[in-house]
Order: sequence, then structure tokens, then C-alpha cells
Amino acid sequence: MRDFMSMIRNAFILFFITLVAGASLGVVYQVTKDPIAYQETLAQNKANQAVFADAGAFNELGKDPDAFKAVLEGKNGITIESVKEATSLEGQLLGYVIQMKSRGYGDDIVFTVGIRHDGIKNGTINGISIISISETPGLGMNAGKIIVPQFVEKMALRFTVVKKGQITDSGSQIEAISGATITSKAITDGVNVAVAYYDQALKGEQ
Amino acid sequence: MRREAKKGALGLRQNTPAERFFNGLITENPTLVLMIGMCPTLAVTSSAINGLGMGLATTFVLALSNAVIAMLRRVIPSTVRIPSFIVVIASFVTLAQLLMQAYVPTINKALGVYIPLIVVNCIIFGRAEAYASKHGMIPSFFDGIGMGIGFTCAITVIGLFRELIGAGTAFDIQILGEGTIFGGTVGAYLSLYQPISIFVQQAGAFFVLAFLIAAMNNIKLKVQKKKGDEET
Repeated sequence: MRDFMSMIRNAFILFFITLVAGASLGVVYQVTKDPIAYQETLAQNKANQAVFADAGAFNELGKDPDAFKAVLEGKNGITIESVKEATSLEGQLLGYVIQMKSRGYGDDIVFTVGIRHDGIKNGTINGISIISISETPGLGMNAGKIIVPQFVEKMALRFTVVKKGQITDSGSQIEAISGATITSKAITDGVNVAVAYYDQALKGEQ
Repeated sequence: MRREAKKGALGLRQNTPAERFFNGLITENPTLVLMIGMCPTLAVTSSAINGLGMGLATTFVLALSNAVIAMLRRVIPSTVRIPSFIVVIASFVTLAQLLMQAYVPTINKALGVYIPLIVVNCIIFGRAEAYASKHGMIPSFFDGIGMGIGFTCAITVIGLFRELIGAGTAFDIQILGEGTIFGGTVGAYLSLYQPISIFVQQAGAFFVLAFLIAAMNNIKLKVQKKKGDEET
């Protein structure tokens, strides 16, 4: 009987500790909820603005489920997080911002791809901005410096990664970071999916 | 002789805040002497800034969880102490992560994936079990600070060496190799450096850790020898 009572007592103390911990975390969560949401929109806007410097507004677009299925078929570790249209201050369509998540070497790499669709340079990559990346310093972490600029102003249905110094067609080939092939491929594959989605679901719309 | 035994780290009186601080920083440095908390030591030290951020976040959690566990040490029954400690530690880790997300998003971005891992860092649990559950609140708090700062220093130095040798940068500033911030003749020589990228990969952590421990042991042996010479 004494054993039983002490068990009940211990369980009660543990319950009380978890209750206090849970309640105080709830308070902190409530307090930090708005600042966190604000920081997230801030980061999001910065990433959108980075790929479309001349845009005035970004509107979230609905996702096309059929096109989604088609472009993501067989692409492991790649997801489309959001699709937005970028418009000028006057409300004219400039292009699309597609946010991608692609599995890198360390963790998922999240980045936005801006694709121009303004009637003049339809389908060219306007810019790429990395939102979160945690690859090996000195190798994959240099993706923003080495890989990203290679896409800008290019137009291709499919980009391929080649070893450093082996580029034969600069229009569709991307030079890998030596020692970080996985990172290079992750970003390039992500861009390919974004371009494919643009071709399937967005290109036709006016 | 009996008085001598009561002395703690660096000959300071035992269980005072200062003694606890230097005990964690030098005498019982968790990384270089006690060799606990090896997972973050090896995993996140690929750059100095990662080491520093991880160390400071760990220090925050360690100091506060130590203080709370010391405060509750008479309340928590010994049979359920392990789940109780984990609840306290995990709460502080979640708290740290929420605060960092809200107010210092850049650091959170750099350390995001490593923060939840603090829960399973054995330094925190080890100190709760070995020290905080047996001592008062104030020495426990400073024990956490000392251990945390000791951990921070050790992993920042490991990160600094790995980054410098492996990528030629220190705190993301290019020191060695192409694009060095130094100009003139010095810069010309420094730019000849070719980064040894194994040092930023996992194996490099073991190399640097081994060298640091060897250096620490060397200093300790010299100090002991000097003491021995003085006594005889």
C-alpha cells in the first residue's frame, strides 16, 4: 500500500512539473507568435523582392494540382512551397515567384525562383534567392555566390550540372561547385521543377 | 591536509560562484577535460560562428535549467528525476528557440536545425544529475554558466581552426586564399593558400579536437610539474 501511495505521489509531482512547464511555454508562445510571424513575412518579402526588384506587389496564386503531380513525379526531396505572381505598381504582370524546397547535403535548401513573364522576356530566370541553407562551409555554402548567378537571365527547359571547367553550352549548363556536387544538383533540380511548373501551368495564362 | 581537500578549482573555496565558473571554464572543461557533449562538438563546429551561437544557446539553457533543477531538488522524487529533468531542459530549449525566432532571426537561421538538439546534449543532463540535483541554486546557476562558457570557448576555437584551415575564413571573413581581405605583399602571399576542405568535413573535427586536447594536456602537465618542483 505504501508503495502504491508513493507511486501516486511521484506521478502527481511529475504531472505538476509538466503542467507548469506546458503552461509557461504556452504563455511564451502567445507572446512570441506575432513577432515570429512578422519576421517570417519580412524574410519572405525580402526573398520575393530579391528575385523581382522591379515588382510592387506579390499575390499568392492557387496551386494547379495536375501540373503539380506532373512536374513532381519522380523528384524525390523536391517540393513547391508556394507560387506567387509579381506585378508592377500599376498592376501589370511581370512574372512569377516560385518558392522551392530541395534536399541538399546538410538539410533542405529553400529558395525562390523568379521567372519573367512580361511579354518581352517570357520564361527567363529573373533571379534566385536562397532563404535557408545549411551546407558545408567553404563548399556547399558558397552556392549563393557560385551557383545562383549562373542562372540569371538564362532561358532553358532543363538545366544540367557539369563539372567545373567542362561547360560546352552556357545556355543550359551549370558549372558545379567542386566538392559540392550534391548542393549544386539540389538547386539545379529545384530550378528545373520550377521552370517545368511554369511551362505547364503558368505560361498559357495571360 | 584536510583543508587542502576542501579547495576547489584554482585553489578557490569550493561551491562559490567564482570557483564554479573557473571549474567549468578550465579545470573541468566539459569538452576538453570531461569529454562530454561530443555530438555538438563534432557536428556544428564547421565554422566559428556556428560554434559560438550553439555555445551561447547551450549556456542559456544550461544555466537556467541548472538553477530550476537545484531549486526543485527537494521536491523531485529520485525515482522520477530523469523525466522531470528532461521536461525542465526541453522547456528551456523550446523557450530559447521561440525567443530566437522572434527577436534574433539571423542567428536562428544559422542554428535552426541544431537548437532542438540541445535537449539531448549530455552536458546539460550530466550537470543536472551530477551537480544541480545535489547543490544550492546559486552555485548551480554559476556551474551552468561556467560549463556553458567553457563549452562555448572550446567549440568556437575548434570552429575557428576548422574554418580557417578548411575554407580560409574566420567568422566568414576571408583571411587565407583567394579574395583575402589583406592587401599588399602579405595579401599576395596569403592568397596563395589552398583550403584543405577535409577540415570543414566531419573528419576534420576529430583532428582539431585531438590537437586541442593534446595542447590542453600539455599545459596541464607543465603546471603540475611546476607545482611539484616548488613543493620539493
